[in-house]
Amino acid sequence: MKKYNDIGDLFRENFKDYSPKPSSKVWENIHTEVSKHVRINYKKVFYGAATVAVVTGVIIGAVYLKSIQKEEIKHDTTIVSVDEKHAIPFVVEQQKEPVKVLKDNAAEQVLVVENQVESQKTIEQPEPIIENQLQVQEVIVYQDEPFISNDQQLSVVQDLKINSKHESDAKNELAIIADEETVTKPSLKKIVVSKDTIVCENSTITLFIRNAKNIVWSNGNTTNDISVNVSQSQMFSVSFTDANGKDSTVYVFVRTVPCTELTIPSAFTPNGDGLNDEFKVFASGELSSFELIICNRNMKELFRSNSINKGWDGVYMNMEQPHGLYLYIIRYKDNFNQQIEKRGEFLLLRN
Amino acid sequence: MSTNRSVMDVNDEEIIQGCINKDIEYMEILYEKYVSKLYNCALRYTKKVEDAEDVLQDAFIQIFEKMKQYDRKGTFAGWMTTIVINQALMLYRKNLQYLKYHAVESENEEKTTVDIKDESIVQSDFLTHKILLDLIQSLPDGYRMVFNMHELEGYSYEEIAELLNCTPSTCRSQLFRAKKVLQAKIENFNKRNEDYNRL
Repeated sequence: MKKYNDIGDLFRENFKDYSPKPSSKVWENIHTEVSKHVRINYKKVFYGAATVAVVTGVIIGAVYLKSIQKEEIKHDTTIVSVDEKHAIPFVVEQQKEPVKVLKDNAAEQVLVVENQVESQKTIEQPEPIIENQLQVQEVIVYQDEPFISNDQQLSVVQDLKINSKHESDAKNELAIIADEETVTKPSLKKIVVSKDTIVCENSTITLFIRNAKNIVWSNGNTTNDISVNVSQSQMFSVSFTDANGKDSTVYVFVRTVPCTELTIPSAFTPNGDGLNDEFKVFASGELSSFELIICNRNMKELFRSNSINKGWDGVYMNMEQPHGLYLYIIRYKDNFNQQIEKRGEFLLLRN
Repeated sequence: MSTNRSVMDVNDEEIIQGCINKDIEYMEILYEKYVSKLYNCALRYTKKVEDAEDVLQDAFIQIFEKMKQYDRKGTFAGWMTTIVINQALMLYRKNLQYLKYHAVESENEEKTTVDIKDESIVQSDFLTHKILLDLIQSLPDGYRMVFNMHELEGYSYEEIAELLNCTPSTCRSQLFRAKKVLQAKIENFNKRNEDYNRL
């Protein structure tokens, strides 16, 4: 709950940091439109073509060499010398550095050749931000977000732990290690390490250490934070040097438990085509209790179900509900017998 | 994340020069850096996602074409936002041609001189961005334009009146009604939401 002085404040505050992403076709369209007017980078096209030509040459060369080798083995001569005789004149036509082509491994050759092209490019085109350009190309990969992120599960599990028997342990959110000297000198910062945790199987968690030097984690990382995927219960250790130059090692135990995952669709189409005609939730395991409530955006209840197998068909009081945004409330008990409530929106799509 | 940060780190001036030189890679950097901000704006000014994407697309093409005309007064993001708003206004005016009664309606509006009395409002936890956006999008076109321009972009009534081709007092009354509608809808949402929490 948050209180605002004015409706305008509410919207200003909420939309300040709202960063929605449009569909990838927007950029595709812009790209097509803009490409009509921009200069084409002929150098790049040339290098691309050159790479293709060289690679083709290499592959043909490799096949050619292999066929020759097979014949020559029978004649009991040294294969390498024969290869050289045959290969050099063949490759020279298409390749500037024939020596490297003599290797039998075609893949390796491709790499070498491409590296050459790269380096030539850097020399001939001194563009200021080549690094940035390369990185940007990596960024433009559109990824679908998972329905349920592992973070959510993690927080659920951590909440559970706080409620559980180990309350006294859990209250100290972080295991704090302080030796006598750090206590007597309050100016020195305490070393803080992630506490032991329980997480769902195959989830990714971040372990951290603060205010330490020369950090080495058991997986070899030397950063303050490590992000690890945990498929089974595991012990992580971290060695470090504290402010007084003392070396120590701390262990963090991460226990995994199987978790039931809910998959909640973001839209459905009640048009009778047999595909996504109902808004329905899917669970990866058994749930001991389940309740689904669907409301329209005025929070008017339209549907209620106690079975995970029963979904909403988009009809309320014999009336087909219109295209638009609807809300769901899901309450269930998870594997730890913990009551969980999830709320969110989904779209009812009609043509 | 590290790659994401690199887009954000690219200097605006460098991007502007790159776009003036019609370098497609800089255009892509510009798009990646500002798309969320501008899409946020486009969504608020239109009725549905498809319209917002059309507006966004046209706005970016305009931005790339008009890059030379950017005079460096005010922020770069602000300049681009103005272009998005202009595109949205073009769509609004196009729709007005089909819905003539809108113009009639705005002329008949009472001339309210009463100051808008600000009322405090509570936002419940489940009133998410999507629902808020849905509320804005479901406002009548005129209300939505005035509400966005005055409350979120900070335009004055005079500026809005000029852009929407109406009088400043019409803008005031439209804004007043828009706020009333939103206030009622949010209060209704909160009330229903509380009912659920009591279950």
